[in-house]
Amino acid sequence: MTNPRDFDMQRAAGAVDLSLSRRPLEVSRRSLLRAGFAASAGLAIGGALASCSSAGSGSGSPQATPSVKPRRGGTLHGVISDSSSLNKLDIAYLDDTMDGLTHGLVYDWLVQIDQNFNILPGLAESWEPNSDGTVWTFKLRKGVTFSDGKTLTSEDVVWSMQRISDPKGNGAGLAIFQPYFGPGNVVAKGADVVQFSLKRPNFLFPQVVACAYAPVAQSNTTNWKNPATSGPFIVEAYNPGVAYTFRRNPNYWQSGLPYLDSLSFLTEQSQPTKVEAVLTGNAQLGDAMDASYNHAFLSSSTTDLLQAPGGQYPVICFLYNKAPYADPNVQEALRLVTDRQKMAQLAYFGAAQPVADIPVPPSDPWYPKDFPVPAADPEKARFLLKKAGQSGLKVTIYTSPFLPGIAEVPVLYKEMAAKAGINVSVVDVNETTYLSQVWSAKPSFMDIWLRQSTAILPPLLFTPRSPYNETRYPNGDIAAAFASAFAKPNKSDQQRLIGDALHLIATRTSEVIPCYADFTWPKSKHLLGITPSWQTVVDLKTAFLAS
Amino acid sequence: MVRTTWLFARRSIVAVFTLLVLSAVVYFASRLLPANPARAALGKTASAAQVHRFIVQQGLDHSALAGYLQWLGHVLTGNWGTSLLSQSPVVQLALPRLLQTFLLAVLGFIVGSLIAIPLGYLAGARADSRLDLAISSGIVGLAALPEFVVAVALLVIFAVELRWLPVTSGAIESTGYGNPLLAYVLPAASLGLVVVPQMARQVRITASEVAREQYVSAAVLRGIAPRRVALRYIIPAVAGRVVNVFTLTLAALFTGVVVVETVFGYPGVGQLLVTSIGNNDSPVVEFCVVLMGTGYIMLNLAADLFVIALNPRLRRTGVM
Repeated sequence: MTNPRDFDMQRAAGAVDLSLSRRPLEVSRRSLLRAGFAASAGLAIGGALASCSSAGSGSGSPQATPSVKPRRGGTLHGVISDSSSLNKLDIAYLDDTMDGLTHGLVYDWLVQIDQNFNILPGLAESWEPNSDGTVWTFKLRKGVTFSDGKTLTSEDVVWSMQRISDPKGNGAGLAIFQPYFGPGNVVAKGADVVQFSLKRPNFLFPQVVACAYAPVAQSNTTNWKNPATSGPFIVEAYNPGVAYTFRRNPNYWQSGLPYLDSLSFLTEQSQPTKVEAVLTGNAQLGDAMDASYNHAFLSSSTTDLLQAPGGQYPVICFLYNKAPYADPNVQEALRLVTDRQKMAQLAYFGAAQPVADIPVPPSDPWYPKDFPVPAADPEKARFLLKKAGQSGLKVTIYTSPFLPGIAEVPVLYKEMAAKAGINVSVVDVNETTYLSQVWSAKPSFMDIWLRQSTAILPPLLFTPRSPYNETRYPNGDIAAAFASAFAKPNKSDQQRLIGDALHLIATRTSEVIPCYADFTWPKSKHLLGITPSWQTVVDLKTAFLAS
Repeated sequence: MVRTTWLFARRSIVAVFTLLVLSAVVYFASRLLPANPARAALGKTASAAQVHRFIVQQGLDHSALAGYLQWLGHVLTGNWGTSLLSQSPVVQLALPRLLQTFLLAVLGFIVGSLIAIPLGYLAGARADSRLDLAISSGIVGLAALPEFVVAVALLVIFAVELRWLPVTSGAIESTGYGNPLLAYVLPAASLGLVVVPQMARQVRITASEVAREQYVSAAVLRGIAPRRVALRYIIPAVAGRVVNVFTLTLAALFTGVVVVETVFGYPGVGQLLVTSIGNNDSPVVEFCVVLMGTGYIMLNLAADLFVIALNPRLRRTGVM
């Protein structure tokens, strides 16, 4: 059983959410992240909007300060399933959990972000927009050095931003940056000032450069096997798909951090082996796993779970350009058959929150107030289908076992839809077939997205020519609604207009989002100070091993 | 000696031809796979322009024949190319893993032999006895267990419950996860147990046959001690007859360790090969398949040479 003292220590360290610590959760794996990386989490609803958008400054850390005195030293051993031979240290590349984790260990960002999407200082100690939100100026902190001894300058930031936004490159976050800036929009103004001249106004722009795809490297880096880095740890050994070792950066700019001397991660693609490695103490941390293992960790005297709401969401996509899914009656009927509470309970063992077809969890600071989750109404759905001339609609939903936690969603949906006379069949395909022949190609298919900022992901999903637009939504209304929200300097206006845009998503699009699932990683009880991060998967800067 | 040399030369020519056919089949089959390496490398959120650029950069827009000939030309000059997905040199990516897999196969073979030979001999030399029945029943039971069951059972008993051995074989590659040498034990034992039935049955039936040979009966009738009969007459004859099967077992082990590697997180080539096939990363697949094919062919050849060496009649008749 959980030792109460240890549990309190973790609660103090911000590693445990009491309200959810006993709830099981489904998984995430490599392909899931490849399918749209952005690490997860957000521990609580907070009034966090304050510093999300406008100018800011300071020197704080996004982590909760543990009340238990952190212990210096020691080596953290981790086992990661979502890791592969494709892993790279290149800042433009982000494929899976290990990539996200590694980038978070060795690189820094212009700004950091906390679990409530507050923007905090990173390499930039202050930032401010011009009056219409089209020009953002970031002032860099002094005294940041790379592992080769060179001092960070604005040239490094400019070069990094140009690399990740190069339209001729293969940058993983290109679609995120392209609407706002390209290589020609970022310039150095002196040694410690970087200026972005945006293609369109955005008062939430710091959210964009805080995303997982925007770390900063040393300018003109070509040796991505052993780059000079400025993050809290330095790569010591990097064997993609096998083993990764990092040691503390003694010159890290955040004074006193990190606490750990070194970290060692192994690729362990067998979930049972990964689970046993943490349970037996061979390792102190593992990445996401099947919910069926949760109980083992919670009932052990030496282990528990790092858990937080709002990690990822499953979505049933219906292509807008395929009949009859552009019909509003059919769209509403497909939404109305969904019993969201039951879906969260059965598909995710309760470790999920029902949502009203919007890609934002209820714990998110932008989640609209008074946005009710609709109850299932199969009779009304049947009526709407009849009205659309689609009684007895036949739907084939393609899914893939590589999309963890969502295998159950289409099966449950099939049962729910049958009550409205919709005949659903579910087809499983393998991962490679899914990416090349199913995703955004079949009329209806399953997908899963990891959490990203509301200022980033929802607009991209419904911008007509965006590669994120998986349902081929053809209208510019949703993207325009978000754009107008981001162009408002006033926070209450932003909140109201984002709410309006989310309402459009919930009512005009051809997808069903029944719930938002939690984030769960297994860990040793002695590992404290660790927090989920939607910038770096988990934040290990403040992690320490209690004696 | 001349015949053996001729056999080696003839087999080498056939091997080269076989490898060419093998590489061609793998290459053209990979073109039929639905997997799109561009999507696998860039992810679903890559734009159409990015995907197109990747396809052109990697030469995937060429015809399959042109692509194969280009690959072959590079290989003949010693250039195995780079992985389509990771952009790492294929040799650098796969060779260390192939060597680890080969080591595991050899260790598994040794474990299997150490268990299978005594059991098979005891059962065969005392055919139809209770001991034979007990051993044969055990072997049938073991044969019924799939690799992953054996592997997980060993993992649970020796790593999880007894905690004598590390859970993950990652200890081989990184410090702090246990003794690196101990990390080989469970994968090798699992692999060895999987081939015990096949090897033990072969030893048993051969030992049973040899034990009934007239020269063995004559040796017994001459009053030679049973131990000496076994060491001098039965075991050498059995060894000569089973060496071929044993060598082929080693070859099969080399190509069949994927499950065991997966269960223990062993840093071999199995997972890399499966991932590369799934992502249609043809340079990696080609390298692995050709090297594994070479290993298989060499072991087959070695088996034949062993048989010839142990059976002088074959050297004279040249039936091989």
